[in-house]
Amino acid sequence: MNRRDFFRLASMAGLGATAASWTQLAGAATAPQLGTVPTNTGITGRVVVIGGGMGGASVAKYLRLWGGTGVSVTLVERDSAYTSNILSNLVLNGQRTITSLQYGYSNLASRYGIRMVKGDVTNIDPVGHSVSLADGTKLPYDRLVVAPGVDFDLYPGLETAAAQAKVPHAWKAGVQTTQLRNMMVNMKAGQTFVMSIPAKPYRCPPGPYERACVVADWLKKNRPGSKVIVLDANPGIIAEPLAFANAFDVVHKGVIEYHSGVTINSIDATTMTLNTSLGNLKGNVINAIPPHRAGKVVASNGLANVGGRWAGVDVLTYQSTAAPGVHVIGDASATTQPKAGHIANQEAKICADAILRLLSGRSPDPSPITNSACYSPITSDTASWLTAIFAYDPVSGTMQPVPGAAGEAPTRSKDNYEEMIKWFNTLMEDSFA
Amino acid sequence: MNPKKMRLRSLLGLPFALASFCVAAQTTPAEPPAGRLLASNCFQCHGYNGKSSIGFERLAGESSSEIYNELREMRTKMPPKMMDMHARGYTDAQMRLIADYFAKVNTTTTATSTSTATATTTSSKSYSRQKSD
Repeated sequence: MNRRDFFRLASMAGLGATAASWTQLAGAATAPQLGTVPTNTGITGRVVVIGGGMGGASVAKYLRLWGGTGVSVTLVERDSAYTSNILSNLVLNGQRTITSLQYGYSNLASRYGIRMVKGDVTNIDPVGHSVSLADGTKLPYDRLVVAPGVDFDLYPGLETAAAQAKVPHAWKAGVQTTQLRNMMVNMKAGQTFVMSIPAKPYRCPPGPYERACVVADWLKKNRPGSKVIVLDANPGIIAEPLAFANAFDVVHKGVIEYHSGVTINSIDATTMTLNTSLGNLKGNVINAIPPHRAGKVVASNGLANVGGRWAGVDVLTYQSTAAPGVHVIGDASATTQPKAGHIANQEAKICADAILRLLSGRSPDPSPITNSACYSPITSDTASWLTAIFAYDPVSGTMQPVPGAAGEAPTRSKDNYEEMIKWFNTLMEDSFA
Repeated sequence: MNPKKMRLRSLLGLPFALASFCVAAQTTPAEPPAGRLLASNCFQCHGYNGKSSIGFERLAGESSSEIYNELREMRTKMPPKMMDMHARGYTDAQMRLIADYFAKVNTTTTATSTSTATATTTSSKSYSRQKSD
C-alpha cells in the first residue's frame, strides 16, 4: 500500500472505527525487536496527537505499546513524511541527502495501529474536547497531545517569500536545507558565509555551532580562503563550549570568525547585507537563524502562556497550565530542558505514561527522569558529544540537571562520529519504526 | 462471571462501538511495571526493551546483576564516555529498578528471548571490550 492509499483508507475508516479494526492493524508486520501492542491492558480512551515529529511520533507509539488496543490513537500531521533535523547539517557538506533523513508514518500505522490523518488543525476546543481540521473533520478526544515543534520570527527585511529564499534559515530540515547546500556549492574561493544564531531558547542548542564547523570544514577543502562569520545573539557559546571553542580557535582557525552578543536589526536580501549591532556586514551567503516560538497551533489556541511564545506545562504529565486535558511536549513547551529531538522522545514517554495512568484513574509518576544526548560533527569524520540527565525537583516543580551527570566529550574523535550514526539510527527506530 | 451481568455489560458497551473492551474495562488496569518509565531512557540507544539490533549493546538477555554492575562501574570511569556520564544520573535504587525491569521484561516475552540469545552474547562481549579500552 502506498502512502496516498493509506491516507485515503485512513480517512475512509472515519471516526466509527472500532477497537477490532485497530487490533487487526496492530497485528500486521510487527518486527519482534520493536514490540507489539498488547490486546488489552484494561485501559480505554481516545487520544489525538497533533504533529508527527520526534515527540508526536514517539508519544503515539508508546501510548499504544504501553496502553494496548483499548487506547485509540489518532495522529494528525500535515506532511507525508518527517524530515529529521538531526544530521541535517550533513546535507550541507554533501554527506547526507534530505531524502535519507525522511521517515514515513506507515510503520506507526501498520505496526502499532495508529490512525494517521493528514491535515491541518484549525481549532482546538478544550471544553468540548475536540480538534477541528481545515477540511471540516472533527476529532473528539479524551486527552490531546500537541507537538507542533517550532515556528520562526521574521527578521525585518525578510518579509517576502523571495527574500526568504535568498536568505534561508534552513533550521527546519527540508527545501531550505538543500537551497543552502546549493548556495554553498556556488560560492567561489575566498568568499564569505555569514550565519546568525538567535538568543536561547532555540531548537538544538549545539546545532548552529555544529553548522559553523561543518560549513567551515567543507569550505576549507573545497573553496579555500573562504570564511564563516558567526553572529551569536548569546553572550557566548551556549552548548559544548570546550568542543566548539577548540573547533573555532584551533581546528577551523582562520576560517571561522565568531562574534558573541550580536543583535541583527535587519537584513537586505537584495544587497545581501546584514544591519547588526556591529555595523553593516555583507555576505555572499547569509544563513540567518531567526528567534523561535512554539508552532502556531499553540498560540492560536491560547496555549502560549509563557512569554507569549511557549506553552507552560506541568512536567509530571506535560499537561498545559492553560488548558486541562491538553498536553504539550517537545520544542513547543516551556521547560528547563533543551529543545531537541532526543529529549522530545523521552518527554513523549513520560507524557504517554502519565496519560495512561490518568486514564486508569491513577496519579502520574512522581519522580520522572529524562535524558538529553546528542553528537555534533566537528569535521567530516570527527564529532563531539553532549549529555545531561534531568530529574524532577518537587520543590520547584521543574526538571533539574542531576549534578555530575551532565557534560561534553573531552575531545572530538572518529569513534564519536561512528557512534553518532548509530545513535541517530536507534533514536529514529525508537520514534518511527 | 455471572452470565446475566456479562450480557448487561455488553449491551452497555454497544453505543461506544467498543463492546469487547468494556468487559475488560470493568477490571482496574494493572499498575505499570516498576522501572518501565525509568528504563525507557535507555530505549533511544538500546532499542525498545533493550532489544535493538542496529546500534549499541543489546540489554535483552542480560541478568539484572549484570546490568546493575555495568552501570555501577560506569559511574566511576574517568574520563567519562557518554554512557559513563549518563550512568552518573541515576541513584542506586533507580539503577536496580532499571536492571530489574530489563531482566524481567525479557524473560517474560518468551518468543524473542530464545532466538536473540546468541546475538546478545556476542554484542555484549564486544561492548565490554570497547569499554575497557
